[in-house]
Amino acid sequence: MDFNLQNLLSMPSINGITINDVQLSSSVVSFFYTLIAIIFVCSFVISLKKYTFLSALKKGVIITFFSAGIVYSIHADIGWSTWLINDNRVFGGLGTDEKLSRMEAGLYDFTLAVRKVIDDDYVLFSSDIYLPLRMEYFLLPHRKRDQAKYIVVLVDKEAHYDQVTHTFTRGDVRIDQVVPVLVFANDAYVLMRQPS
Amino acid sequence: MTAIALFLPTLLGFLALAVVLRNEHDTGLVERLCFSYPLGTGLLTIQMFVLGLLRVPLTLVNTSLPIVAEIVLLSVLIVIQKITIMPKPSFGFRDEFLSTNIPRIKKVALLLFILWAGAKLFSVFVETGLRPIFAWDAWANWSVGAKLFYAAKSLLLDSPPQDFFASGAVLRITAYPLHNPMMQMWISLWNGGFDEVLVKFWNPVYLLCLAGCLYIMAKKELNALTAMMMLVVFLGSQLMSYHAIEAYSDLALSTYLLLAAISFLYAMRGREAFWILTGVFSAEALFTKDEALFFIAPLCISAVIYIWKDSIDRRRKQYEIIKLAAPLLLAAPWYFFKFSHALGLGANHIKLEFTFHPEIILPALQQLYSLENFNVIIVFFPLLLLLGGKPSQEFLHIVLVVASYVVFFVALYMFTTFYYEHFSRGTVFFRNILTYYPVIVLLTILLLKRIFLAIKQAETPIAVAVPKKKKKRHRAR
Repeated sequence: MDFNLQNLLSMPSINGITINDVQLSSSVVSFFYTLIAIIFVCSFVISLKKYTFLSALKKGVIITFFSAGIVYSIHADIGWSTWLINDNRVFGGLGTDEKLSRMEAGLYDFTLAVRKVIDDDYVLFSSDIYLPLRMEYFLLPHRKRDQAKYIVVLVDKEAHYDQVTHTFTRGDVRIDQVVPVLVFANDAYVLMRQPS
Repeated sequence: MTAIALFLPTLLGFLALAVVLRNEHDTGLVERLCFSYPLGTGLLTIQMFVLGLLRVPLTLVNTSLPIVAEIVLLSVLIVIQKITIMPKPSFGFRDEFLSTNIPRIKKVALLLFILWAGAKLFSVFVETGLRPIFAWDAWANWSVGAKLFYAAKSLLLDSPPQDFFASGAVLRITAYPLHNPMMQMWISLWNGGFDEVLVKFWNPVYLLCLAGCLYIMAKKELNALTAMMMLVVFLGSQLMSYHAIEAYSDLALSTYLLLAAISFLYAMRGREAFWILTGVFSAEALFTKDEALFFIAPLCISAVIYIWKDSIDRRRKQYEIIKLAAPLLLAAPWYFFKFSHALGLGANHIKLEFTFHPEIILPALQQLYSLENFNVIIVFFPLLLLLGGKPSQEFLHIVLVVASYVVFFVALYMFTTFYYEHFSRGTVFFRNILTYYPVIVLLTILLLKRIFLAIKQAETPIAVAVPKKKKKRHRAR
């Protein structure tokens, strides 16, 4: 076990994983168990002078429980304050859209632009896993459908739009008579089916 | 507007509590307030769901009217029956600070702990306001439903099959209970739009209520300073603070399970009105998350066993069981709907495939003793249990419920492929513990009380005890 004193105050940053478990480094765990052992031995020995063995044991455990618990809370709250200060620096004073824009970078900006141009359901193409789901969420209540009026392309390596023939292709998929209604970036754009 | 959205259910809960606890004088103002919010929000979301089932458009007027009408009705009842609605404040800090018997150092320590706990709780609200919904399954599973229901002003029950009940959108899980989406929808109705920050604000209030309930409980069982220390230790759980700022349901469930357990405890102590609250909070837990069923079922069994053993009057037994069971009907519309539409329990994509992995016990114990997420409480609990001596009947009735719940989770990880995989990936273990962590804290408080009493009884110094022994020996000689 590598015991690094510099890791004692480290805390993983806020992300989707920490919501399941805020991991502690092995140094922190070792530190706490050492602390628990020291407090227990000291409080037990001191209590033995005044109490019977069992009462001293109980007293020792209670003192250790609260002392270690409070030291743990100090550690946890230092980590919490770090998150708070950091988030205040990143999100403080911003409106909800600005916060989302900062959190999701270009994805949310693209979503905002898409929301302005589409008024109906859409079909979404992407070769990523997270991005299309997040975009689908942001575009609600418009729903993702197979034969929708709009075609949203988001970071898709296979997608190709031919400006001359007005044709969109992606693998086996071929959609004719589509026109661009929004070009946000090379790999983020919206097409609309033209009525035949 | 968010404040009004949170205040209205609190007021409803407060008035309902005043009526239920009309003959109850031991419940102070703070404790009642901490009970009121979860009680009111649970009643609100169940009503919204029933309105949705009845195809009433879920607009602000339609959802608020029943709440306002209930508030008016309860107020009239309170006035007519002259029920006291404002019991005395029960924090007890004033007495502590004014007392001349308490050393100054203890008063300073108490003040520091109050400031610490207060700052922590305040910071949770600040952090909630800073971040939009960010965790994957918070938006993918819970907020999707809220957004679609809000946009449609209905539960989408008359939509085409592919859209029925907002199915098929992102990763929405139609089997999940609706408390969380309905709360997000309620806040959106008041704000006139779905705001990714504001829709989460119902969650930190649960943490506030949890903290208040546990503090009051600890103060009653122990003393103000120890209670504040216990609160600081309880709030030292990073995972809990983390869940309080996000649109998750685990913290709400943990609040309902704690309130059901506290109500059960009070009922066992002869405060009969709490049988009703045990039932109501149980029903509200069932409407919050599916796993609640595996806590509430053993709780009801434990309560029925207690009632059966405790009283010899058959009619009284029946009356108490009815008081416990009747409020459970609040969850009936949801379960009827859920099973009549074959929604099942848990996520839609879970396939019930059995396996056997007894080896998970070791990593589970390692994780439990890793000190991660729950301060030192989980680590010390078995030790305190041993030192607490023979447990009281009330303690046994609650600890067995928690034990059944733990066994249920262990069985899931050990015997089902889906949960075994999730256990191995580390995505379920700690957050499942989070749902019963406050109940563990409650049990810890009860254990501490026993240990403190035992120490106090044995506090006769050895030096005083020695002459007695000598005397005995002398006599023997």
